[in-house]
Amino acid sequence: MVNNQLVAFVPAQPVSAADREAVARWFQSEHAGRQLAEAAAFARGVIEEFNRASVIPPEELNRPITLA
Amino acid sequence: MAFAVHPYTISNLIQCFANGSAGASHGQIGRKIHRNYFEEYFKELKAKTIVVETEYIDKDYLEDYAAYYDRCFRSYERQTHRLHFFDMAFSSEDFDGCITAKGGISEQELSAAYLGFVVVKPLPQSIIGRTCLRTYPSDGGRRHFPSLRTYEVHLFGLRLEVQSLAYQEQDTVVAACATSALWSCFQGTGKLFQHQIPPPVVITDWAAEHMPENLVLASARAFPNNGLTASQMAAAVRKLELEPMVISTMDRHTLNGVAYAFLKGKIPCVLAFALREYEGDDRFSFVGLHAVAITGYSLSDGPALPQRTTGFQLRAARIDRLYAHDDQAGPFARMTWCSSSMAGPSHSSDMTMLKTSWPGEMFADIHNRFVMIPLYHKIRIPYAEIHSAILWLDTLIEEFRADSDVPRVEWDIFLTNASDYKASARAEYPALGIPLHDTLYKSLPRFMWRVIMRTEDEIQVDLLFDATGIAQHDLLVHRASRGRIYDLILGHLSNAYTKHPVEVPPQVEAVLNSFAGALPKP
Repeated sequence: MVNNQLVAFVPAQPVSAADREAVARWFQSEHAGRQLAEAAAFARGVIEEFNRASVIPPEELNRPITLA
Repeated sequence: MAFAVHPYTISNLIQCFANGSAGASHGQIGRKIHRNYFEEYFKELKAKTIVVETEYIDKDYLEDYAAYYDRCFRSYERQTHRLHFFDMAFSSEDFDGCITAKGGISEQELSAAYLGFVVVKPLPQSIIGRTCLRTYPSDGGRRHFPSLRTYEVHLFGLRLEVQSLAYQEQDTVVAACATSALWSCFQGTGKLFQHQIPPPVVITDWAAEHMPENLVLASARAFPNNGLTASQMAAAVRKLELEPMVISTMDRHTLNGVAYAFLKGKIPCVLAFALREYEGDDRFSFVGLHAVAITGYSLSDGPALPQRTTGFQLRAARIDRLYAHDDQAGPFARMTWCSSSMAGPSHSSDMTMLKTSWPGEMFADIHNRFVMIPLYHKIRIPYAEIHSAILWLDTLIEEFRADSDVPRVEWDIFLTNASDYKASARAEYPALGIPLHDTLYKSLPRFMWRVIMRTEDEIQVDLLFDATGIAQHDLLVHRASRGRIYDLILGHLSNAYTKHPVEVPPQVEAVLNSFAGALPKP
């Protein structure tokens, strides 16, 4: 159900029938579910890698910021 | 005479600095990095005239003076010189005529020609005090300085204004570079979040209340100050009842994303980095650690730069240079992204080096360093929460899009508030055919993360997340969209998610849920 409280939405949808059909066909295909699951797993891996790489060694944080 | 008028030349400027200092010679001032920086800066601003106000009491210097310089054996002056710059040529008589309303140039002309001021501290070396100068011109909308504020300047009864963010050089006595960077940030947040703006000596004092973790590396002594640690900086931020948000800077993608997201929300941030000098043959020597206040950015109009592993396109990735208040170089100093290897470019999103405005081959290495953002305590949702959710959503969308002719989305993520968002919607939505009613009359939280999906520079979908809420909850508070191809894709993605549930972060789920049932009936 669309949350009408949430959305400012244009009713007219200038999307061609061919595009509509192409999008619908892909998402209703058998492989869509599997591909989306793979994409979610990939995204999780990327975020985990981001989080791992963003740890600053404490000894670096404890150094005074000085050019001297 | 309480003032002097000089035609602007770099030599006259150096002499004005020397006259206001505690005995620094023309030659000593000429060897400062600021000399070259100001020469280039005032050339760009087309400065024509300097007015020297010779008996100016500067609040920030006065506090530093009272806390430290007044108690030195040697005497230092209490009063400062303040140099005012104009892009119009006039004489001493013209200026006097304007001030005393005897004719000559008009107040309006003087006001329009005003470029700002520099306070000269009566000290031996670190003489650049509070400095408020007009920024570089926007250059066709490329340069952005969103965190500026209006400074009122009173000059012999004249009321002038300059849009700027105050800058000053650290003196290594009452302030270190991190102090100066924090002081510049507080100039912006003070106006935005309504807090007092402490002088450098107070910032250093607050920071020094927190004992450094490693007393061998960092001195426990507050004054003279040899540099603050990250936790000392955070302690100073806390004293203003702000929350210090610290984010690791891994590469160009992360720094650009963070700097852009907060600057667009009018919040400057402190960037800490390693200063390195290029020695040739792809070798860099370590000069020291340095901190600057990030105050602006330049957005290139070329194609969006994808993140290396995912192809994720962030609008902030277009930033090709940042502008920073670098106390050792000057205000709004350029920092340009470049490859860390002189031999050849790396992937643009992986870059970790910025060429600084220092003379010679001096680079800021941001890898494994950090930005610190002083935030109002109610801004609770971190940037990373929204960035991760959007990267995740983009990855899901890409599964379909990569097989189609649909252009890829460029994501624009930044902090905003309810009134700025509504003002922006009023300006942008009508031309896109998005009705205003649902947006303008909607009750929204004070601070929000705004996420705009754009293709070919046009808004497709606009998502607003509550920045004051709880991360485990659905934070999506508003959505506006044009009903085009991306509405259709997200509608189908939402259906597919219902049919084949996969584990996604709460904010991805919130977006997908908002599109549930949004597809038109066949």
